[in-house]
Amino acid sequence: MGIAVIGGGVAGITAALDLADAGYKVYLIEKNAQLGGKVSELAECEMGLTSRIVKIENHPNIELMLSSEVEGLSGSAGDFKLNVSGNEIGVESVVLTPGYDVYDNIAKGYAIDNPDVLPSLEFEGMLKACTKCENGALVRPSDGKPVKKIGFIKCIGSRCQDNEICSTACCYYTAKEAWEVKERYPDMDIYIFYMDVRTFGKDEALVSDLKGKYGVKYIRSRVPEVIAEDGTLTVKYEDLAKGTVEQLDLDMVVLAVGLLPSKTMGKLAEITGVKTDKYGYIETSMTSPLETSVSGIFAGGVATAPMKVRESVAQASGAALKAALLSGRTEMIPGQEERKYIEVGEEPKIGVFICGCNGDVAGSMDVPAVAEYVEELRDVVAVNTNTLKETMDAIEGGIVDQGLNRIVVAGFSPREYEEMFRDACAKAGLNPYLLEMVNLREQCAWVHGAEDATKAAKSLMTMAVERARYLEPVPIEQYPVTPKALVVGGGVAGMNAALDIATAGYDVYLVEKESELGGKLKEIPELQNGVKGSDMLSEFADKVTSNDNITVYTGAAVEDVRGRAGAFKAKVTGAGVDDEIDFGAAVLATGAQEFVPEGYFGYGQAQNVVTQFEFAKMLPVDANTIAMVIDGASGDGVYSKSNSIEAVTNALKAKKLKPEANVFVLYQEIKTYGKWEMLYKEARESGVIFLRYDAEKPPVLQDGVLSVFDVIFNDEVQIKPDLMVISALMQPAAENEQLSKMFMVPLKNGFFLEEQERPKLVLTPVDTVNEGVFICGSAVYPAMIDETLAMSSAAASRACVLLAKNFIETPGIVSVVDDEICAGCGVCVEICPVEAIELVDEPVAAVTYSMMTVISGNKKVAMVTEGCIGCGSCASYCPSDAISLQNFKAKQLYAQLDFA
Amino acid sequence: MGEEKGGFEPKIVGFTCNWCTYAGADLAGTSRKKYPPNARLIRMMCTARFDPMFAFKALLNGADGVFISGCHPGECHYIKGNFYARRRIAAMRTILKQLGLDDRVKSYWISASEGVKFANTMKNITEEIRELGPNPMRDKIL
Repeated sequence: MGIAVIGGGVAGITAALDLADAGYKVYLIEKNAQLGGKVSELAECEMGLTSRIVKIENHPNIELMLSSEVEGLSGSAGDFKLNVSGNEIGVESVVLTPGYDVYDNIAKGYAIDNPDVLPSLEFEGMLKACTKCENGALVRPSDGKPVKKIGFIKCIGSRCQDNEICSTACCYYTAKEAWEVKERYPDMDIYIFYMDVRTFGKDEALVSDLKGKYGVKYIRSRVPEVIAEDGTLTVKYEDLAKGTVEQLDLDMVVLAVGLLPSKTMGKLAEITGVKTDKYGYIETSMTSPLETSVSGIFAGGVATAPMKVRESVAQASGAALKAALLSGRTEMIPGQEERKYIEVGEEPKIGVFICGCNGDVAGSMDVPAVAEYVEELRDVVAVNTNTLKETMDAIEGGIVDQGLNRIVVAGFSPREYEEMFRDACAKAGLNPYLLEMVNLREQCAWVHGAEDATKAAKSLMTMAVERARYLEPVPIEQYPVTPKALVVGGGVAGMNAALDIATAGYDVYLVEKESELGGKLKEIPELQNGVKGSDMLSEFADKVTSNDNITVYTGAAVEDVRGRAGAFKAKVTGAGVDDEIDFGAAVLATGAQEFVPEGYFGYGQAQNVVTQFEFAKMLPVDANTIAMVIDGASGDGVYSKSNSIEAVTNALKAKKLKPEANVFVLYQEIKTYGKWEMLYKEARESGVIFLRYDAEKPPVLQDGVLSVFDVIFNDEVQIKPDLMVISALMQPAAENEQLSKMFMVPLKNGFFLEEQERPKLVLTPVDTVNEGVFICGSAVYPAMIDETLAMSSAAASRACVLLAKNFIETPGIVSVVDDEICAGCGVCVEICPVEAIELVDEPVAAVTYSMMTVISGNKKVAMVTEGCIGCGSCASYCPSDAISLQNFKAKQLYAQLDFA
Repeated sequence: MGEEKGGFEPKIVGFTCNWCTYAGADLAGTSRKKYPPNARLIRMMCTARFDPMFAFKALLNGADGVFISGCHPGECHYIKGNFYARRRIAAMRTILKQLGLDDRVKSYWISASEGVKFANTMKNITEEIRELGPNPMRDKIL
């Protein structure tokens, strides 16, 4: 048996890998002939997605079913039978990740037939393929003239009549595309036409950068049409400040097209029986965002609601774990087999593998000439030019059959593929650190002209071969994984993560600083879907406290964290507690807290000024005039993703409870993303009055009168509110600062930062730079409860992938000390950024004089502990070269340097 | 050498950290930003691994320019490795000045998302070193 993942886009890929890496049998079913879905069409998909696809293609636990469709499903949770293009497979559970399709009913008025008007995905493809444009210039498809002025029109096919909800992702992807264009073509004039800018956190910072230092013009106006005439595209828009209709000539127009449920969704719903909502998305609930209406079938990604890649992969990871809980681990986990490495002689026998990368490299340089050149290099015994997949096999063959003992792979960036090729070497019995990679694609073929690239490639190859000659096998030990997890924070995120991990069969320590579980949930009277906060809290708390696998510490804190992924140690201290705990993985779920907006609109002094949180608890209220300010409060902290939604919910509730009351919402941007757009619509229809102001003219409360300059009426509005409600910013938990140091996870604005291996496409939203430490919930960014739950299940899923392993191999890139040379000066101890070096006593060899033995006592030597993260600071500072960084030893670097 | 000042192709060696500048160079590639092919990168996990001897060795080998580039201050993957590098580069400069080679060694902060900055930096350093002419050590050593 196993688990079926239906849909091989980025969400399906994530779910399949999480499951397969944890030892589950996975059937990955994709209707197209290749994996990748929509993300593979994005400009930056080379970063991260391709290596995952290759991993899937080579994964022993994944049965890849391409060009296949699900035609039937029978049975129930724990025993489903699927008919996949005529083949029957039996699985215990199913993950649905069918993705989305773009809105394709674009009005003729947008001149969509004009070649210079492009839907966003086509534009992404154009950016991606711009190597094909002459000199990398962005040119008009119609006449090949360079583009100088480009306009982006948002909300095409979303927030409109036939697709009422907001597509969520477009605000970000438009900003990203504008950034991409501006970075490549700094002189480009960019105009973005929008209704609201619905970006959050880091994305919001990107938008303000665009408006500021990049000089991108954001124009708030719904553009009704694009007029194409004589090779010019003209956009008419309303200038709200002047109240006039303006007109702008552009060279190219990009339509930020909305998302719709996948076209296959209807049939899939019929076959699987899962309920869809009225928009065609899979129905899930706020309190169980990953469960569909059919037990045993889970959903993730854009199939449940429009969202960004980051949220999609978090949901997919979470859904994967939920599905895993119904299945059993039947497969070996790759890399968990006993590995014996062959003895490597002194004599290097170097095998060079040049990968043309499907023409990415081969098309931009003379690969045969490079190969011919490499054959002449010292100690090179074999040179192969292959495709990626062939290379993987050829490496194994080369090691086993030809006795190669140093491998040089040229092609992709090592940042993306080193792990995979190391693994290929290890499989064939060669120590994985005898591999050297040459970045012929990203840092050569793609950035230089053909002649230059070929010349540079030869030089890069020489450097790599010379370095390879000096590579040494790195001692690798296996250490057992402690199958237990630590969860810090007993709010909804922490409780959910703990429950998921415990249900998967691992022991969990749940540490909460307060005297009881619940966190922010204790303050929420009612969720948007009508569930009482207290009900949800007691349900979760009961499950947690009654679960035998979970040890709960309340009123306690974590201290003194040591060790590394798979084998951490820490202390839990608190009232009457002083425990030493061992765990293999940690989940940080510390949540966020509301900033006290002391002094804003007289908060703290005036009785009738409250925060949204307080207001929700006060309802129903007696006030006749209620004024809410959404973006008004400044101070420290960040805006929650729930900020607008809470305000609109409360405004609507107040209006419904007392229809004759005047309810005003003062805002700069209403960020009711996704299906929440309908709540905004309902609020407007029920008579809640929304007034928009500009950041330059914020509302002022004086003598009980709230004055605001409304940019739509273009006039000042005065309100005399009985009750003022302000949205407070969210602040990170106070303990994040300390936890950041203990767990080596960096913070941004006080919130935990996810692993940033790729600059833009976030494919690992809950992983951190410190392996084995995961983050989730409002500790990362304050969000709605469904997102928090999905994210914490994702963190649990990632933790379980680690805990499923029996052992982990020690990292190779760490420092080692030569005891003979070390004088015990202690420079390295001072330098080490993670305190992973200690001075220890070592007895000095005894000297024997005929009848007498003299022991001259102890000497101090440096000892590298398991906390070493391999930065190499100590190696470069050691005055006697007694300490060195494995794989980056001086001779290896000098060898490379001498041929640079 | 016989190359005219301004008309020669300088040889440049760059020491970059894996997490920021090397990734930035990768991004320049995925963004297809073209830049001159004069620099050879040596990847290290962190610029903290940079030893001033590497720069001296490169110059003695005849490199016309050297650069060291890591994460922006405060963004080091290893907390403060880039500060160590900065400290050592500053110390190294006192010697480089004595030798008249100070202008040939540059240091930058380039993050993983600054592909364009990386490409522009490569253009600029190539031009700057071209302007300086060949490394005088070339004739003395080789």
